[in-house]
Amino acid sequence: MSDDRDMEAVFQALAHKSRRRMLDIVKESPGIGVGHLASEFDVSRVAVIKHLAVLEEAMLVVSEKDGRTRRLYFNAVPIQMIYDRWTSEYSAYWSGGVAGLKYLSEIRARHEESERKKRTKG
Amino acid sequence: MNGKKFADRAVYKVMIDAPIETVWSELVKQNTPRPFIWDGEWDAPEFSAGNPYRVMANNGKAVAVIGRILEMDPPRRLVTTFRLTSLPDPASKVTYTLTEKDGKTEFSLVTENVPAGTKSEKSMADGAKFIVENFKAYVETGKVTFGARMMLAVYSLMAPMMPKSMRTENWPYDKAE
Repeated sequence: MSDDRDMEAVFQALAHKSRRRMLDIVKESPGIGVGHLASEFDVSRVAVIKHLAVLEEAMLVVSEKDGRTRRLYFNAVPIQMIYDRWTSEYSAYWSGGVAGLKYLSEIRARHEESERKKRTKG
Repeated sequence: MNGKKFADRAVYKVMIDAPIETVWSELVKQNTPRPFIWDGEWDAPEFSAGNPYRVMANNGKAVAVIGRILEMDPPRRLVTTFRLTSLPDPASKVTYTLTEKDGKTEFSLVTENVPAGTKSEKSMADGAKFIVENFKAYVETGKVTFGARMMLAVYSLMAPMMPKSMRTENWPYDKAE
């Protein structure tokens, strides 16, 4: 899978307690400044910036310049892609997917039936 | 949301392994189903800044999204207002940004001014993830993800049940906010 390298970056980024906490904070406060985030940690600002670089490399955090501050946003897409790799491709097909299709086909059949009745009445 | 009128600005981003021109042209290709937006089709009198646009569904019989093109700077930036016709909420703002990086393209979708606590908020957050993930898959492989293909199959089955309020005759261009 060509995306394996991208996923490795995500798992590596998530494999550290401080970085997971950073993600929690950024997710709770979209647009938080780097300085503000750093103030939540006891480690040096340099260490925080290093952690941030790992999170950005994995695209879990997106930063945008806003004047002199760098604002941080949580990006859910890499996690969604991991989730989908092991759920929608397999389990959704075998559990939800097939059952869902059958269910919807039945709803549709009923719907068409009622439309047909309406038409014949009208 | 702390009683705020709008939800927080949200960013959805992905790296696409394709040249920026390709990514742009796939994004804005009109009058042809785009699988990463649920087979919707862009429709506009003219696809340029200042003009209204619609995302047509159900082979042009319904409108899924209506809005106005605020800014367009090919192949880098497209800013639109965005209103889901299936919900009563006012329009929000959606920005698509493409950035070239080592021959690849960074694609981001940003939502702003989404009315807080509404169905549109939930719908757009889920929808944005779907679009970004599947746009990458579509540009790189020519196909959306397996999960998305299942969903599209389900949608086509549900097409006859699309609410009448979404029908094209109810959404002329001048309804764009």
